[in-house]
Amino acid sequence: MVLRSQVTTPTDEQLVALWRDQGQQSALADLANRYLCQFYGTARAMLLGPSEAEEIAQETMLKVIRSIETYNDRWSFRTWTYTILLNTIRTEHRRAQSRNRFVSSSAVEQAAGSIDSHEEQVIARELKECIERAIEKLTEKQRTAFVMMLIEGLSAIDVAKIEGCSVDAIYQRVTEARKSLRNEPSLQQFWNDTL
Amino acid sequence: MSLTDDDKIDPLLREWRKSLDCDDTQKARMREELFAQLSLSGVTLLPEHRPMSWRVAATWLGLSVCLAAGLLFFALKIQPFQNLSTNELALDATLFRFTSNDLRRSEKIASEVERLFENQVKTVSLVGNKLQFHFDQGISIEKGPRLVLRFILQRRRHEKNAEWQSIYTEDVIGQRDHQFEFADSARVSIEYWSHLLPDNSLWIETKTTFDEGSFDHEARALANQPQILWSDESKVESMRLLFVYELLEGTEGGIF
Repeated sequence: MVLRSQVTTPTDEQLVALWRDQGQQSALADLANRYLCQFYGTARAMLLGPSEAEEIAQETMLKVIRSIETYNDRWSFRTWTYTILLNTIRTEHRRAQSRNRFVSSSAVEQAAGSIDSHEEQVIARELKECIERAIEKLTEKQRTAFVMMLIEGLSAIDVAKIEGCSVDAIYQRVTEARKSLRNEPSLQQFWNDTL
Repeated sequence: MSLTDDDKIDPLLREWRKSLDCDDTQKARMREELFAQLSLSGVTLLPEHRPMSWRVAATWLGLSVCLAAGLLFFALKIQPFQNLSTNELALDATLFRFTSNDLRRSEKIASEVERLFENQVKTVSLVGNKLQFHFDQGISIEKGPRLVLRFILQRRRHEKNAEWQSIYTEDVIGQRDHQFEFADSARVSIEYWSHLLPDNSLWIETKTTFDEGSFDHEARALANQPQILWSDESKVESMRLLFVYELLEGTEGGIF
């Protein structure tokens, strides 16, 4: 009998190997389950609207699956998929620029939906709007480094790999992004009152 | 900004990120749409048999229906074209297959390129006796099987007893993933993308532009079995693009 505590969840790389080398289709479904929501959340954090984020998540997963044969396990699977995700998001950003599809009032409303009291809801909504406005003002490089490292929790080394630059450059971008957020006029009140 | 302030801001940012997660409905919708697209693009995704809760079973049932519908649609969509290809090529398919001499030559070119350039060359194209190298600077080429692809552009005039004539032939040696564009001198240009599938068949997508019009084509090809990627005709002539590929032996482990 196998005890529950002894059952370990396979890593991404193990799932890739199961699908690629042993043809286990369920491993692919597990990977899709793991990553679709992550891709969606990251796309939202990169200021895409809900429907665009869904499209991006699916498109990225499709690209990952199609090119899985080229995945090299010298990279972590997560880093590799985020490289594809970022390229896809950038393409979408370029497309969206002319259509002005950036968020964010609906996203903010949805995000604030789970807060209980009306007052908290208003504060949360305002804060989220301010954060998104501040993130929108960052340069693309700052935003990417900021979201990938601080929000998605990738290491500076991995972000540097994805961006093709030095680790120092990533730290510098994150520092600049933090500074911009700190100095964002609409957030000043929150930093003073809330913190 | 002090470290203390960062420590206070970061949880707020994480909270904000958490609020952007998708809900169960969105997740289910994305999964369904993804698997439907996969079925259309020829990637099989069937769940293994294992004990499932009714909820999971219901989800898979829905997905299976989508998958079956997708495969049916896909089969119906490409079947007429495949029939056409088979009929059109029935008499002369052997003319377009790679011979053992062709393959030996390609393998020799591949190994020479590896010896001279190590892993710097992405693809080699061969038109007539002219070799052209395509470098991929700064990127280490992945190890893996190598392929040789052959594109043959043919024309047949609308005259009595006129036969198909090859007006342009290009062989390309490269990796399991290919993406490139090429054009003959005048009216035809082709954007090509392909990916080698685990069973060594090849998934190809092309966009052929001929005069004013363009034609998109997706297909799964089998090794050394020629097929028509595109055909068209004007008042005076017909044109068609034939394609065939083969895996190169002894190149596993990286040639370029």
